[in-house]
Amino acid sequence: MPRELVPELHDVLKLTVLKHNFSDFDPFQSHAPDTPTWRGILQHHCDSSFPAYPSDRETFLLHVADGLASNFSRHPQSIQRDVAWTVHRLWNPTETVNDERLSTSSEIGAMLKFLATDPDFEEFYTRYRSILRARAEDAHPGKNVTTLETHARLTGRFYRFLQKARTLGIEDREVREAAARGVQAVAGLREQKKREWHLYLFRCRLHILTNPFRARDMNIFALLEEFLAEASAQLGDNTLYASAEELILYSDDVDILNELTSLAAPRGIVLEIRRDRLRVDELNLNFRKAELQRAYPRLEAAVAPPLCEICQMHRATRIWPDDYIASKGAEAGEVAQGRDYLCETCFSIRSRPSKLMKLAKWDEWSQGDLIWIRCGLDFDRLHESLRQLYLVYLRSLDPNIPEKKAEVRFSLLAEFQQDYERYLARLRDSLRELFGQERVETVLPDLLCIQAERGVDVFSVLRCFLKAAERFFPALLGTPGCPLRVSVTYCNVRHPFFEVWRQWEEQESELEITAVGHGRVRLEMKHLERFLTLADMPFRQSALHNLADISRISQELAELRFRAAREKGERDTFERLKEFLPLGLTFEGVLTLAKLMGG
Amino acid sequence: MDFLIYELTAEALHLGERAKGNILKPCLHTIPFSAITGALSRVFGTSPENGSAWGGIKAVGFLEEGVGRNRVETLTYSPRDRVAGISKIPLQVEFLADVLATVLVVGNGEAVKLPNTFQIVLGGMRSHGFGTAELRFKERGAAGNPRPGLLRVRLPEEEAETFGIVKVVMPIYGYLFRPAPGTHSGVYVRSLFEGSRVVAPELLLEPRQE
Repeated sequence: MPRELVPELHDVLKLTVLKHNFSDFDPFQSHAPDTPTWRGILQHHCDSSFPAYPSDRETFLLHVADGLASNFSRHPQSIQRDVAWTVHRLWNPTETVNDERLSTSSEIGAMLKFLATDPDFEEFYTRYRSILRARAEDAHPGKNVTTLETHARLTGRFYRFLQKARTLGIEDREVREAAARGVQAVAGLREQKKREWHLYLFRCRLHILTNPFRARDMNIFALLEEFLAEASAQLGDNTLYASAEELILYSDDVDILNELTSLAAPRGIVLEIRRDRLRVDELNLNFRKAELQRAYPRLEAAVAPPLCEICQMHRATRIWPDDYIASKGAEAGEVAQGRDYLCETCFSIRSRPSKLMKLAKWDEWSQGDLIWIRCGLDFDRLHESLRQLYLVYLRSLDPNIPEKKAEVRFSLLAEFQQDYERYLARLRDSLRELFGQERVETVLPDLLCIQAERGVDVFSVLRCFLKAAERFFPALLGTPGCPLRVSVTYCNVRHPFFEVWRQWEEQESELEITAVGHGRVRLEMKHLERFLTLADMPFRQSALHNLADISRISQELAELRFRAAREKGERDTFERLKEFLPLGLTFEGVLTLAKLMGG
Repeated sequence: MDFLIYELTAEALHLGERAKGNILKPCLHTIPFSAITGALSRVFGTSPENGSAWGGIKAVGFLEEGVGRNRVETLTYSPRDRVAGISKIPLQVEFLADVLATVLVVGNGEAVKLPNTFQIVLGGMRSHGFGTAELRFKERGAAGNPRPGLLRVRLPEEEAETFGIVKVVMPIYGYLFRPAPGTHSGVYVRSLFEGSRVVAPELLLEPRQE
């Protein structure tokens, strides 16, 4: 019995140099497989220039899914330029990608033979991965901004969702009747359904209730990862974007939120949700008329003391470590920590065996310092940056192209996410290489901790970040409103992590460097390279101390002092300082920098 | 409804977070309902009203902007174990220095009896000289028409109506302590924290972004 239609494979002919509309396919006709997937390949267009069109519910839904997952939108481009077979990454425009399409008869024949074995997508991907990652979904100039791989995966998700959607009704009979009337009737049915069908878009920001202050409390991040993995397993086909910070989901009803909350709440995760409902043919990521809600675990109106010392949201019913030792016996090992009153959730988090073995050891290392690094992505800025980059690209091909044509679709977002994950992997690798495996703990893919030897290690971290970002997102770094964020905190190993975390949650600047107890530097990403160059220069710390102290009382007075420097050492320092001020640094920021340099 | 608007100044305040922080004792950057209402009740001895645990005076506060004001500073001290005769691990206590805040007192019957200028003691670390605050009456202001916005104060959910909060659009919850009248005990009540999206009088909301 043949496998069911594999939606991801609908565009495999694009892996070859053959025309997508089968107009030069005749020499390979004898290789054409006889499978539902091949039927999808043949019938997923609704255009008279193609030899076939959707004839049943499956191929009709594949056609709709293909449209939802494509980069081109309601505003078709009409740029008259040469076709571009490989992807143009808007955020990395100078990257060169080789055109690896199958060009010989034997290569094309081999692929068709392989298709006749009725493979699933992962089997096919293993064999043709490099072409899928290089070939643009659409080779028309201006449309070549996403890869075939991204498009294929997204089509698969939309197709499976449409198959299961309860409120988006389409009968096999309806499609067959329309198909009997011809291609125009099927196109009419598609337009009718796209007007009738509505989808909810949900943008969910993730917040943790736990305030981790001991190394074992960091288990909350293992729970966060478990939550993301389970959400992906259960709701993968509804997911458009996922990170440790936020999820973007779609569905035809709001029940999906109950499912998501039931995964989040027992783990002490709160979801801040924006919800929008749109017609299928008007789907966009603007969230302009969004409804807001915050999905908490069940919270009592009143709680008798004691309150949980970690989350402060539930009654403390457990005592740490007494209850832990009582339940584990000898297995508990040595738990030499003070007594804490905890709720059931926080107790269970702390009782889990920690995967962060290095961090647990460092916690006992009382003299040491740490560097916490958190990378983030501002979704609103990302959306705007991608739109701007797309517009710049389109206008490089046709200066008169209207702004509305630079629309950011789901496929572009998914394409970006793939590169974002590669960038994080590159950053992790380079930090491990620089500091050594033993000194780098990965808490989350975007949250790391490094055992630091001195303050200047912060600058080495920032150099690694800059290098990784330059490799993957050069076009984002130099522009205002960069969506990439990074926070680096240098602190003693005993400094409570929840303070670092809270500060990150409130972060508004693109780049933030904190030296706990000394101060903070806030920067725009576009200044990072210059900042790192200047950071190597020596400073007279006492001069900076004076200036920072005065600026706390009056910025104007500090500036007056700055301009009226008399002593030579002071004058030299202030001369160098003049280079920093255009980068947006305050006097206090420069002092923080000097502290890091000195320590 | 209206509010009695007071300016609060203090040399140093430690409004402690309840969360444990290892060697660091962090400090709140707001003046919650429980802290200011409790402090006012202690001075003016208002009695519970209609079974309410808070008494007749109800207030909230928030920090004001100002160069050099509300600086977060750290005091390092080592609590002494008098029995063992040894000092424990040094603690770092965060506090607000040169505090400038606004206190909004609900303009009900008991509140209008408050003097124009008075002192209260607020927050923790009082044995180290923290917590003495002076309040000066500025004006009596009408709450005005409620508008949607972000809450800039902390108050119990059950007191939202008292402060003219018409609707809670998206709450950020936490808990504040509500003392039981006549005892040293009480319960923690679910409360709206700063950042909650509400429809409320202008005075309770973050200023509009220009």
